[in-house]
Amino acid sequence: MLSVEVDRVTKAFGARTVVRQVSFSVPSGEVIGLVGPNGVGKTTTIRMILDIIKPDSGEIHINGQQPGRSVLDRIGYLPEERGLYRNLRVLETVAYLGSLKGMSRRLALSEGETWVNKMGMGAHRLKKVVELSRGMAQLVQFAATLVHRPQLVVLDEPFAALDPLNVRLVKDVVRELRAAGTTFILSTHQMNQVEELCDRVVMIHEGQVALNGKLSEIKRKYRGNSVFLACEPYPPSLNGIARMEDRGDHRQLYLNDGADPQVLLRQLAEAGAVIERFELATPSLEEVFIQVVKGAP
Amino acid sequence: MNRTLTIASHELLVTVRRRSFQVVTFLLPALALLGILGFQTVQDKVFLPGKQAQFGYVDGADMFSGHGQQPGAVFTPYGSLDAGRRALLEKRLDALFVFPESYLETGLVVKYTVGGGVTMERDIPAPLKGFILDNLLEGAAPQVRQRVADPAVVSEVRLTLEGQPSPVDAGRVVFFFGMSLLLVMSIFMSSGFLLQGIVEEKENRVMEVLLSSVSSGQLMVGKVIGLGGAGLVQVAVWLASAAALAKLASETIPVLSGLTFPGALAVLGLLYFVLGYLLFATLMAALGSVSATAREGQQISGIFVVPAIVPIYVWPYMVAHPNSGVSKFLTLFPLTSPVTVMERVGVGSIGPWEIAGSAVLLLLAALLALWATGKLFRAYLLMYGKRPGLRDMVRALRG
Repeated sequence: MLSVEVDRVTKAFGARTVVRQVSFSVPSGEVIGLVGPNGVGKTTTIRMILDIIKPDSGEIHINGQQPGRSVLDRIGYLPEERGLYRNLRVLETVAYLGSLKGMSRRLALSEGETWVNKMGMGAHRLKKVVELSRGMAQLVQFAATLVHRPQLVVLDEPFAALDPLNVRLVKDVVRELRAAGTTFILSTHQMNQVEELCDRVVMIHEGQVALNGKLSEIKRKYRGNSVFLACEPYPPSLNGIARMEDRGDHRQLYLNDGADPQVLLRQLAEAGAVIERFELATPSLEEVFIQVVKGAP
Repeated sequence: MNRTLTIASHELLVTVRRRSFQVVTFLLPALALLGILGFQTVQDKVFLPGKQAQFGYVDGADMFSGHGQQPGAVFTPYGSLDAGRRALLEKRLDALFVFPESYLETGLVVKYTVGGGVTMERDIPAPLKGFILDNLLEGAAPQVRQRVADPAVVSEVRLTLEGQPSPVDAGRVVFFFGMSLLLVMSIFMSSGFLLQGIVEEKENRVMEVLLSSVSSGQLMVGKVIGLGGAGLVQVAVWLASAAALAKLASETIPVLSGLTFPGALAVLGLLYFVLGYLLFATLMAALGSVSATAREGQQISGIFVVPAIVPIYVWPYMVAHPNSGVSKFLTLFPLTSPVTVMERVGVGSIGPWEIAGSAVLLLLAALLALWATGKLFRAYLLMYGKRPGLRDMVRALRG
């Protein structure tokens, strides 16, 4: 199992600083979502973790060591844009990329076959990559990422080009490996996938870490003080309510600062209302993302 | 297995499986074999007794009285131009030659044929030449007639710098020129694959996956070794074919008689392939790392290709002046030395110190290119869609 520690890392290209004092950690065995708008330094951060480029300052440690060849062999990387040889056959591609991670040719071929089958591409293993659809090529890339059974997997936009069935397949594989102790860094714009898969979220904005923490904590932080309510009858007056919005089959009640939702619940019970829905209004990660990017409270 | 060797063996296998590689590697010797066999067949056909051409002549100069039977043609006299033209139009003649009264002073002969078109032929047909000589030299000794027909057979002896006759002959010179062409073709084919491969890996983003597994240095060296291995396979096939073809050609084509292919030359060919390939492959790798697209890379590669083929263009000069300053410069200059050395070996005028000097300079240039390419590789392999400026590259080399 591998953990990652990114400590005050900065990287500039010419006069442009792409990553500025970024720090976060990825505990071993967890799935962390690396999110943020386009061009804020996510891919640069990933490349530094993978030792493809060096930071100008700051340090990166994987299991307490600086990234080096031995530790990199235990990492799998699926890049944002597919990186496959167009004229090579599927199994050959997966086996070659596996052998570059230190596997023997024979093992790379047998494991390659296993993973190609697991990703539903067994029938296409002798086809050239150029003959595959984008989604199929994505599954091959996924097999190539996992063929050497990495302990840390970095996935950059893994769900792009996949149909819903294959999205489920990939998510199932991620969950299976995570249960076996594999650590994941998942960079994606698809916030619903992050919410489904990730334990922690690091949001990078303008080259800096804007949010970092457990998903549940972040959502709580950005929750605001409102509840969704559906009840019958609706009491004519309730204390502690700043404003109310009608949302069709339910209403969203915005509470005064410091007002306790439990007090509101008691008021409803005392008023004899039959409650169908009473829920603390938790924002989706997408709403949090928009709030952070737009600077909204 | 070492990652560099993994990359090398992968590149080697992928390259030798390419159809274009197989075609060039095996088709060229096959074409040369067909050429030799074709020459033999044509030669046999040409010298087989076949249909005799029927020529008529009108002797206005009053000098042609006999010798109408010539190899390949029969000359029939006609008393007037009209009679000859009639025979020509009735297709009893293939051509009619009219010797005017002033023939001896002017050498003018008018040839009549039937049909349109323009002939660009300037040489006198062999039967006509024989007919004229036999009549003009009536009574002269056969050897005199032979010398008038073929005044001199020049056999040139050039001395080496040590004063020994150098084994020069036209066949050998041409043969080694052909070998130098093959050498440069192989070098550029292999290094071209390298350039194409690197730019493609950048374009389809495989580069990013590779660099998450191996260092840029391992990647570069692995590719250079693998594609160099493919080039060596090609050169080995060509050298082995050349040895066999040289023997066959020496027995078949008169101008190549006595042609041999010494084993030392094979070693020299391999040495210059390895060194030349190392230099050009690393330069192409550098080009690949800074090019945005395959097309752009191929276009810029001209700056290396053009110097390398300069010796091919100045070959006639080099054959005539193998020890001139230009020839020596091209022998020592790394970008031109692989081809030049092979050409000068053909002429037989290159000293061992020149070979050693050019090999050392070529090696040093290759090592320098390797160092520079390593720097550019690290800096620009992940730069997509745009090419760094000259200043950026200088900065990367200094960094």
